[in-house]
Amino acid sequence: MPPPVTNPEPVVISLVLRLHEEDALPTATLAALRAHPSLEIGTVCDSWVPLVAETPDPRELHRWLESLPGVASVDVAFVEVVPQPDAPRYATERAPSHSSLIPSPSSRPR
Amino acid sequence: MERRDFLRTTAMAAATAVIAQRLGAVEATPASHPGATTAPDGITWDKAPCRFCGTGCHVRVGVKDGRVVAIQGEQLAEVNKGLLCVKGYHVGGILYGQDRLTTPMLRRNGVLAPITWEEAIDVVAQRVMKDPKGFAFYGSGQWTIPEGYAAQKFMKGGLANNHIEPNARLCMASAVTGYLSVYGVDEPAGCYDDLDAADVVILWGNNPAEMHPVLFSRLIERRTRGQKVTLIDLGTRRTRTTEHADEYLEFRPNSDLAIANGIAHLLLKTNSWDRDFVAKHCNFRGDNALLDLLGKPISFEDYRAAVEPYTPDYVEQLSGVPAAKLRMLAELFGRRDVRITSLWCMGMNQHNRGTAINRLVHSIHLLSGHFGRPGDAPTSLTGQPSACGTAREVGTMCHFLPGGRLVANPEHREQSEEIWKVPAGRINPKPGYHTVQLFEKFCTPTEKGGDIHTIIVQVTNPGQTLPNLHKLFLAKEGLADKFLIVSEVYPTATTALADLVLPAALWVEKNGIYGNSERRTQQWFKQVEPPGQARPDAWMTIAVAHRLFELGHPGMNDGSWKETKFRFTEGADPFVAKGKGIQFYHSVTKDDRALIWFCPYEPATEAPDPNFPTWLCTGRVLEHWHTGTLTMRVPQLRNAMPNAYVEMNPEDAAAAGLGNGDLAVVETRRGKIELPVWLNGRARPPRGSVFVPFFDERLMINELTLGEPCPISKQPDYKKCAVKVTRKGGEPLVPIPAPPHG
Repeated sequence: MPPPVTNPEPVVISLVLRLHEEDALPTATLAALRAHPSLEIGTVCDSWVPLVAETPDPRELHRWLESLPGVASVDVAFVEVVPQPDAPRYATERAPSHSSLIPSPSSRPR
Repeated sequence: MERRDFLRTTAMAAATAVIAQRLGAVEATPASHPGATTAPDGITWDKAPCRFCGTGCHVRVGVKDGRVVAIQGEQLAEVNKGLLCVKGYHVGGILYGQDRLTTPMLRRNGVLAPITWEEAIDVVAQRVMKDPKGFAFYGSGQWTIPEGYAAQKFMKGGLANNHIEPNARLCMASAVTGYLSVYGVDEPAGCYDDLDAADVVILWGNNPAEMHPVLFSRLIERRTRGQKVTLIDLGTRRTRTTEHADEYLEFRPNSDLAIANGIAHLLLKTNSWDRDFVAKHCNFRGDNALLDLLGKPISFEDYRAAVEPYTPDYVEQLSGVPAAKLRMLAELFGRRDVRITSLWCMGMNQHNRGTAINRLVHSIHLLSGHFGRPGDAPTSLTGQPSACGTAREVGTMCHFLPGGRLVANPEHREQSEEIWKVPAGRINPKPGYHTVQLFEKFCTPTEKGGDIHTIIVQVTNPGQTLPNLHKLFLAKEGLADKFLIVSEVYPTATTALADLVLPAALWVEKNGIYGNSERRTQQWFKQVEPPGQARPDAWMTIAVAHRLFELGHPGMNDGSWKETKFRFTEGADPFVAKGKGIQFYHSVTKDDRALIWFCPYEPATEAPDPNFPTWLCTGRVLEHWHTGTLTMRVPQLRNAMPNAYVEMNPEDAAAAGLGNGDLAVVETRRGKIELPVWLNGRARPPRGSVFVPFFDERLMINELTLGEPCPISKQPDYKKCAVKVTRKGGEPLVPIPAPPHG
């Protein structure tokens, strides 16, 4: 079973958050963003929030941001590309039967 | 500033700039794209469409030291305006997996071993020569347009073989037949602007929140601005899209057919269909016995009778969608004051009645007149970045030719043969095997009718994507006379069974053009080198064609792939017939002969005479391009050649009392100008002639020239007229005025 792929090196990303306009700017959400140790918040314009992060797991951060109250959308503006760790290797020599590569339900990645 | 800090600053600037543009603080409609730019940190940025889905977002790729080091959204792109979806995190990293394929490999005794490209291309060519009819090409909606076109021309125009298919057969074929059978031409009529104008968006088995996030975010953004956009999610399961929908209507698989007919039934029953639109623009059609693309004409009454059974109760029974919701859908379509966009993708296309459901959804829009205005559109989104541009527009399916033409159509074959300069009758009129047939034949023993012996696969992974894999792919194992060639970037389930593996260049490792979901064609230039010996797929196809030419394949010997270094000469010019030596095949006398002309001497229209005793010739100088508009603004060139002059023979100059640098009056019957004299410079006119260059807009010699045209070509003569050159009244030399361009 190939090991899970991780990217231990943090990458610099910038995101654009859009907050719901009909609500007042969600102060709790903005406070949570400002308090986050990996986030740098830019100038908030209307309901748009630019932010920069350094994170080893951009997708995890992305999901967290999407879950915040008042956040309508999270889009990517910039991504640093860093060398990846070893990828799972499917041998180019003859592979075993495909059925043996099916993980058991408990170990399937989410 | 540390590199990391610079990167963070650049990142924040990117996000801030996108917001500024969205708020209208910055206009982002330049006349043309700035092209590649290098930032102070040494990163060179250039544009490319994203390598992933059919949305066609544009990115800016940051390259340093030969590697992609950053990606940002391209603000100038109409599609995404600087934003990327979550897949944008990874589009740069796809180039740098550790197990990138870098060497051609041939399987011997069950093990893949490295070989040279020359050997690899020869292996492919020999497999073609073995039996050209049994050779097949399987490509992709991720092919660039030139890659797909090269493969298509190679197979249909070169090998007279229609066994070429793209993997888009597995994703868009029903969209294609839907569009063709409704409108007579493939591809959506609308574009992404529809998303900005629609009041209602109906998603037919579609999950754009995950699969086309940038497009979906256009709808969400409209809502954050307070616009009312009603989202109706028709699906067989809840998805991330459902979380944003106003209505979720869950239906039983395949019953979308009933739902669509149910809407049509209600439009007719409530008289809310658009009679005018239908009367002016539509006919009615039903299936024929063959269930083919064209069907058969039916009357409106036939159509009405056909949808009659699809009452709300019946459709509810079939689909599970409540009758009241069906009425809600039909009421929306029956309204003229709302604009409705229907979006779909694989839910309707990867469907055992895909053509039918595509036809039905188009038909609802036509029946209700929700067509032809921004926001009123039935649109099938594509999944791959160039299923539209390559697989469909280039015509890489087994029955197509480029531009919507068909192999079965004699006129279309003739047009294609003419454009490709191949002999009449070259293109096979019989469609080849479609994808499922192709692999079925490949995986069937030859002695049992498996007449495809070799498949070359480019830019796709059928070993994972084909349905019924045991039958259509894995059964290849053990068939010793079957040969699988795979061009890939990484090891895959397909390379696992390959006999020959060819390492391919990926994305910005080659030039390319893609055509996205809304028919937008976007190009990019190579920005980094591919690893090892990886090559672009178009190179591989052309290399095989060249090798076949060397081996004498009749389909490759028209030589039109060769550069024509020497026209009309046998061997160098492919249009010269064998044995002719020299052939003037454009002969005016239609006998392959060129013409030797006699033309008598005639004196010049204006020759020197006692009043204007000297020939005037005009022309260019090394330093300036034509009229100096560009080059006079380059200080080094202006300094080297700051002004026009009159070049004289020294004896003529002495006779006129002129020395080097003296100001002369140069006069013809049409005008006069004053020019400094240049003696014994770079050129030496004979006695009785002078030369003046025409680059200087302050001293325009063409005020003096005659310009008598050739009576046949109508080209004026700048090289001869009569002039007189005199010293300017004995006055001292006047300094040349400074150039106004300074």
